[in-house]
Amino acid sequence: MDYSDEEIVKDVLAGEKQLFGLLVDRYQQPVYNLMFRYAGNRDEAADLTQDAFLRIFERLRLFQADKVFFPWLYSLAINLAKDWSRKKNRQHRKMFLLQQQAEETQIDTAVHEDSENRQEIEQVEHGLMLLPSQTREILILRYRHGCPIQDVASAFKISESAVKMRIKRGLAQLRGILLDKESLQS
Amino acid sequence: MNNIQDDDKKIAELLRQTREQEAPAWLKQQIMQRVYTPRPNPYHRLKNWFFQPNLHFSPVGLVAVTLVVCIAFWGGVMKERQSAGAAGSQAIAVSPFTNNAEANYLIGRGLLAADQREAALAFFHRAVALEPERAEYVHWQAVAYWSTGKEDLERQSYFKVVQEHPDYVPSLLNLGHNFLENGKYNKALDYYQRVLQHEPQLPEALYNSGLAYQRLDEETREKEAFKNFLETNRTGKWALRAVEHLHQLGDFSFRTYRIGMYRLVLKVTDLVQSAPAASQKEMELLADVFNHASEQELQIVVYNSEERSKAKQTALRLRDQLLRHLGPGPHGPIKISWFDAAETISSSADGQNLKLSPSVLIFSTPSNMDKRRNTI
Repeated sequence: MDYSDEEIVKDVLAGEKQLFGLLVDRYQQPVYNLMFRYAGNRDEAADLTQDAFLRIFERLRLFQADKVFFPWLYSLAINLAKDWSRKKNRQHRKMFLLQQQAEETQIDTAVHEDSENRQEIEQVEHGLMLLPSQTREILILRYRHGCPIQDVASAFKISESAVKMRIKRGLAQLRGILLDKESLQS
Repeated sequence: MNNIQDDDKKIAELLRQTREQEAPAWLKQQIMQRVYTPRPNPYHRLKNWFFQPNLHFSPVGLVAVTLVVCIAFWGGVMKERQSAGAAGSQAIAVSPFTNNAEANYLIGRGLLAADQREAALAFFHRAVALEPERAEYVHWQAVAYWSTGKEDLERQSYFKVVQEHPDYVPSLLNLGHNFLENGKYNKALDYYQRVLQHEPQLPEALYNSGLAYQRLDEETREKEAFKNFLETNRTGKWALRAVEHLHQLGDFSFRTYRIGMYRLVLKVTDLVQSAPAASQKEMELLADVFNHASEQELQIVVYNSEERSKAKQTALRLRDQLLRHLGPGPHGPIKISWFDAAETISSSADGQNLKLSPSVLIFSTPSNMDKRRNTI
């Protein structure tokens, strides 16, 4: 039984608050990860995720039923992350990368199964964190979450051609970063 | 050029495989708790803005602390004094963890009400450790687990209660809610059914059963559940919502009527039955509302496409019953009319027009008696 996000939104707006839990189930993972990329630590990411879902709940009436829900939700979450980010000073950014590496090291020991492909994925993950935040998030929304260009454009409130351009640039930047790493390693 | 394209394809593929952090297990609970918590009113927001965060004063906190102190005194001192008899004349200081299970439980309740969740949990733990067989202690421990986002422990506690006390309705009900919120509709229904075996008219279990059947696409049972809910619940937003659910399914056995500023749910199938006893209860409900809308003129319109005389009979009967229930006090005029045609209404499900027969339309308009007087 698969209920669309839009159907759930309709029922939540009609007063069945408890069904909002189904939307949280579906999207807490991407939102939490988005916040983690901005905040760099689990506690802050969890707090921001809560704030994001509360904001989403409070603004549910503004969601247009003919649109796709996920990009709308994601755009609210991104705005919240950006607002939060602006309030933090640059020192925080330095901390972020250090903590990110520490967190990832923890994961590495848990999923240490694989070889070359795993290393490549790790390099891409590190490379992503070196990109400008909007480019990074566009690439993640497009490839990790499989969103069509149209939905990515809607989430970032930019044109489709701008999304395509940023994806192209983002891939080029990643390519460059990975190349640098390769040459350093070799 | 091809090399660049190949590289981009490979990077795109690697991006798809990038890993995600696991969101904490308690996150959803915390979010839902905040969703359920009403936003503070403008006064409190203003107060919080002025007094945050160093100088903290909370009236609720003060009341809660007072309550906790009183309960602790009553639970810890008075009870022990009772058991100690005459020897209890000396003052006893109550430690945070008294050995009186009930005192711990009541302190936990007070702290939970004051939103001191972790502290409350500690007291519930103590109460449960002292008297593990008391269902309400374990139940409230589960509630405290819920409030702190410990979903698994919450369920385990409820399960523990219902294993030892299979008839303990609050835990059965909360298990139903828990499963419903997590999309496990069949399990939710199991628990709601168990609740209804003990309390057949419990509104939450009746209404949420309807929701669970809706999610499972079981229309017949969904209708049945919402109708059962409406048999005993006719006011409030949930009654209006239940009627909407039925209308979405094309069932118009219940309808919402606007009488002045009130909205009233009536059972149409009882209004149009020829047996007077069936419509008695409905007219009693209508009379209650109409008594509070004395400035209104009431219109009762009956439709019966098969027989005009039946429509007339029904209209007369409804007016007579209503007048009996209204009593001698002042009320607005009541007008009746009848038609040998079906009532046409717009379906909320698809916006199409529907024909209903037999059917009753009830509405009110502002009474124009004053205007007439002025004109004369």
